Amino acid sequence: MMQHSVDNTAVLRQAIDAAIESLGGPIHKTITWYMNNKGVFSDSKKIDIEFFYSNLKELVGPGAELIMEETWQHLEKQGIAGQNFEPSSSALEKIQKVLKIGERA
Amino acid sequence: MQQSLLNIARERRNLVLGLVGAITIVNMTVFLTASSDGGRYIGDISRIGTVASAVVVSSIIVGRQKLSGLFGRAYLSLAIGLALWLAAEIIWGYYELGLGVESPFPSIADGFWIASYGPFAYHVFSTAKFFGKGVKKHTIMIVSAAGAIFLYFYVQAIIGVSELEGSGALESLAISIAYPVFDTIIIIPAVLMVTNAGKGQLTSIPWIFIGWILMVVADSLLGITAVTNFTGETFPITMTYNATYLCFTAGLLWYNRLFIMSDKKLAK
Repeated sequence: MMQHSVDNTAVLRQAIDAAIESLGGPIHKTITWYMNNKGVFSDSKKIDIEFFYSNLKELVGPGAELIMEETWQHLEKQGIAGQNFEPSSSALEKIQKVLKIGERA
Repeated sequence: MQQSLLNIARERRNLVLGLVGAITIVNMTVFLTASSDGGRYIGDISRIGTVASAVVVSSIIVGRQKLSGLFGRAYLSLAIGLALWLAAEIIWGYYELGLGVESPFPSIADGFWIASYGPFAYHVFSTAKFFGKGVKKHTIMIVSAAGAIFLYFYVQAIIGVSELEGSGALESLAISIAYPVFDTIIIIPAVLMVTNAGKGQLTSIPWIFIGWILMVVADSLLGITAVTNFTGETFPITMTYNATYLCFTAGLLWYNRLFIMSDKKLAK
């Protein structure tokens, strides 16, 4: 699995938090608790976005897509996502691509 | 964590068994007393009791969750809708239990039932953003077409069998048609959410959307009996409403226990 050690990691974490928070404060606490127990956020310097997504999907099924889309929208607002993407690209693919570019930079 | 996942599976099984048990006990009571003198009263009380259980749990959720986020607003809407249902059931019951007459149609209760569709629609459509991700376009088209066909034939049937006469007949017929129209608007996303279910530890059983499907079945039966001035046994309709309300309660209990876990549980 791909891991990302980039400056964008903190921004990504903020975007993930904001996306989950948009569902509601108590749900944010619950999802974060599950993710912490799965070790998804165990490394504060790196977030494995694929690992996060697969655990999220295991927990909330189709709702994982909404959280990924919200995360992407927050990244766009932060100006992190200044790329051109295929219209068919999923939010996960877009985030992965941005992180890859950040990793190379 | 593995322990937590096992607990979710165990909680789900317990809730399913609890729901089946509750529906069985309540509806067996309604069924076994249906032909007795007090059968109608027991039916009324059972519906008030089952919908009240959903109102209580939804109020607890609103109190704990407040109005934050998509789910905060959605569950407030659900709680408002359920409170309107409870008011309608109490009014309906008051006619029969308090005044000792059969509830008229239409009555003030219908005003509450019709008003509840607004908050319910908000709940269904806003949570559909979460539960409905990944639904295929052709599935949406098929379910929407099926909903439209159901509505067309149902309204035709209602008009066809309507035996209402007098000054309020048109009003009664209009209200009879309003129910299936609003039901169809809600059942289309509900069916889509059910077809999209089965995934996710927390989301595999779409309790409330299943409740909506049962609700539409009950409303459809009730609509036909209302416009035909049906005088036979209506306990199967009461039993379907009880199953609906209890399904809502189960979904709310699930949400309260596992979606918005208490700080005590989270500290473990």
